[in-house]
Amino acid sequence: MITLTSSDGVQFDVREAVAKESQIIRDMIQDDCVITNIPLANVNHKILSIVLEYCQMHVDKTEMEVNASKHQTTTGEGSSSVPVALKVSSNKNLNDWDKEFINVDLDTLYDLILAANYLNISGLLNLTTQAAADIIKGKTTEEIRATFNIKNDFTPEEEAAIRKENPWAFE
Amino acid sequence: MDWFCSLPDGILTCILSFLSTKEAVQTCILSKKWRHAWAFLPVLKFDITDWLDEENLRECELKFKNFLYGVLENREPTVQLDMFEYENYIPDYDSEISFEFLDSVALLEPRVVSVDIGRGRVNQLDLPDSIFSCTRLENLDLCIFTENFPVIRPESVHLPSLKNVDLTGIALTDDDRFIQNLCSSECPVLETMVLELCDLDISEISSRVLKELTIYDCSQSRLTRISCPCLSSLIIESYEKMAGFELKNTTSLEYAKICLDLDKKHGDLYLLSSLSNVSHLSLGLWGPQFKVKLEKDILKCRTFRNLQTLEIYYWDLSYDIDLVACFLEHSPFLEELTLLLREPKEGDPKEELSQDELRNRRNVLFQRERLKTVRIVKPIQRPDMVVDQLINYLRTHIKTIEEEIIS
Repeated sequence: MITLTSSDGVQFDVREAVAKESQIIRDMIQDDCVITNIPLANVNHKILSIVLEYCQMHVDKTEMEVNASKHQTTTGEGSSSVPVALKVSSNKNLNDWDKEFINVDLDTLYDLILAANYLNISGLLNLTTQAAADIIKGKTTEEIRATFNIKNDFTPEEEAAIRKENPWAFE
Repeated sequence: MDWFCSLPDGILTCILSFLSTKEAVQTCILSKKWRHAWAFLPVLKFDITDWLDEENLRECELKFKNFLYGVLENREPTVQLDMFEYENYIPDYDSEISFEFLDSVALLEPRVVSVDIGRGRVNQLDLPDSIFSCTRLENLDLCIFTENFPVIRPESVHLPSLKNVDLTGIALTDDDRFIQNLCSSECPVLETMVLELCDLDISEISSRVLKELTIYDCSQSRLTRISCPCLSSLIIESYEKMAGFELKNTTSLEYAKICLDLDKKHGDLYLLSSLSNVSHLSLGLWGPQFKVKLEKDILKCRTFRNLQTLEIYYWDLSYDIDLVACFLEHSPFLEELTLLLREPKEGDPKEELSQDELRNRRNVLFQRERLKTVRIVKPIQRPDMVVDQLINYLRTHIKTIEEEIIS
């Protein structure tokens, strides 16, 4: 077990495998194998608990798949020996879970992106940035500005000039 | 507060990478922070459907092309290109596509290139040779949907980093040497090859390094020999009549799935003895020829000494019990047997399998010590009685069965 302490002082005891979903923690454990308490200065307890929920789920799923493939074949080194149907169904469940998991408000999404980036959890970073991209998708320039509170700091002349210089981009 | 203002720059690029390149580029007028953000994208995704709301297809093609060149000319040249995706799919529409842009793409040394085209007819795809000599290219995906099968004839192929190649809808012949080149020392780390809906006229797929080969729903005009000593996974699935495959030097195979229908004129099969080391085998008896040849072929085998799971698709109780018996005889370590029964057809004999008949089969062959799981998947129309009989029969002869799953 490893204890992770959030920026606001809340402690979380988690399995090493779960903590190691974070590349930065993985590196710390590799460098100092007796480390048991890791303070995380940039993540508060609310966000950390969401991040750990994600890590927990993904570790559980991976372990389940490994066990299933061991059950299938005792030699089982190649991934090809995992029955395709099993892999697909478990990936599908995990994708559904991810989709549900990332259905959060913009403020939480923002904090999750920063946390995933700081802790270097590539799966979570992909999931969160993809979610941000999905919010942009299909919106007009005005709608994107309104959603994310982006202030248009171009003058109307500057904006017109950009459109005129790059006609290919706006056809 | 502006949601994006204090996100690290890398994150912004990351978010833009999930958009189509058209959407990403058009964020340039959101604010000054966004003005050049798209130019640093390592991922470019062009899809003509983003312009297809136009009535006039020629107009749409022109705008798509202008956009593509606009991006390639205006992006930040020092940013390495990771992934390039090009989708230009307008079925039943004839027009020439010029692939000159691939020369500029090749200069950016992409890691992944995916080109997806749909047109009425295309005879030859004039892809520039430059794309076949990208030193960083790891994944190449060419997917062509046309009424005919176009050929690709690169003068030379040199892809020292290529790991995966996926070809769809292409005519592959010995003359164009495309497959031979991909399998040569010019592609020394090629691990997986997928050929889907291709027209195969090649005598040999011979590679020293290939690990996974999938041939899915291709047509075939001559027997193809597969000779790949490192191959660990082979999937051949086709619903058309095939001229067949001969396996040579494939003793590394661990996973094989072969679902075939063969031409009437097909000679003897030489398949199963090359699969002697597999731990998983699936066979799909799509046509009677394949089954007949398999039954002959299996007699030439000694043992499947690693075989743990065996699946037989489209299995027919009344005729194929011998094939299963043969497999059981030759597979001492089989743990799991799955039989997927086919739907009954008109003209099937009424009595599918009598007790007497079962008893007369090679009883002794069913005595397998490790077989634990027998799974029978049957269509609803099948009478349960037959399956019950079979299970009873297997139970009598195989003491180790722990689990039967009938669905």
